[in-house]
Amino acid sequence: MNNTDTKEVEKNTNIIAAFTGGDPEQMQKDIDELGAQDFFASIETLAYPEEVVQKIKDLAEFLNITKEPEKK
Amino acid sequence: MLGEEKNRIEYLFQSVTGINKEKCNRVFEKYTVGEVVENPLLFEGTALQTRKIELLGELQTSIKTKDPFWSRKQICGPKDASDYFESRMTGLDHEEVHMLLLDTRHRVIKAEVMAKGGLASAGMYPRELARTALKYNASAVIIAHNHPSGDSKPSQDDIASTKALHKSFDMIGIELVDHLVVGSNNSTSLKELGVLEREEVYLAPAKTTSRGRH
Repeated sequence: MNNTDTKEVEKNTNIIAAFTGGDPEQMQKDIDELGAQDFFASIETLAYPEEVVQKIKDLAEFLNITKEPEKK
Repeated sequence: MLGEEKNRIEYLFQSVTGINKEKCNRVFEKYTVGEVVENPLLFEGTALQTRKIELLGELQTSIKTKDPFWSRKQICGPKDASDYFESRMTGLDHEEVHMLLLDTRHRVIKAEVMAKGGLASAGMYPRELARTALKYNASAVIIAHNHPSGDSKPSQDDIASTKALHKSFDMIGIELVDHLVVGSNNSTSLKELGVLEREEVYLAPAKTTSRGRH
């Protein structure tokens, strides 16, 4: 990842942290390790407070990142 | 757009931005969420509210332009799988069963905690695992559970249940790529131990350089 990408990652992570109330440093670490898609996909297995997890799930759904399957 | 879907998007907008519901409702009588995110000034909110909507728009744009930020991790071997699970399960004082749901290229769709147990064991129910894999349309899955004792050596029960799971998934056309036992400092891949007899394999990394959403 080049410098521009790194800055973009930091910027997007800070936006996500601001919207969800999560710890930006922890989020940065998790997103560096997992990538943003997987961060959202596996949020329920990461150690964030319940209200932060819910906000992250809402944000993911809003952005259409990890759409829940339709109920039949 | 169906009314229910419209309401859901409006709810999500309100939840994510934290802007009060009454204000959102007034604005969404005149404009759609999409229109507001595209042009935050339509919201006629405070400077902070406008900035929040701008930032939401920036996130959406970064997805549309396939920014590398949104690349999805591909699980290409036991090392990738163990890195993934160890970061979540090492140090737990109780047993948990996690499942990684993968697409045809073994990219992560979702990770789920399937069971939480006591000090010694957590249930691993084929029916529940299969139901979740089908729900998310996964082509392949990797399962992991931890041993709170710290010893990653699989028990006879672990081996037997892996064989049973393998058969169950096979019947519904889903690959059980691996089953990992996570200990305190390492993990053991039952695939590497030869417990999964058939040809399920980890995929080689994709050669494409495209890192966007698919």
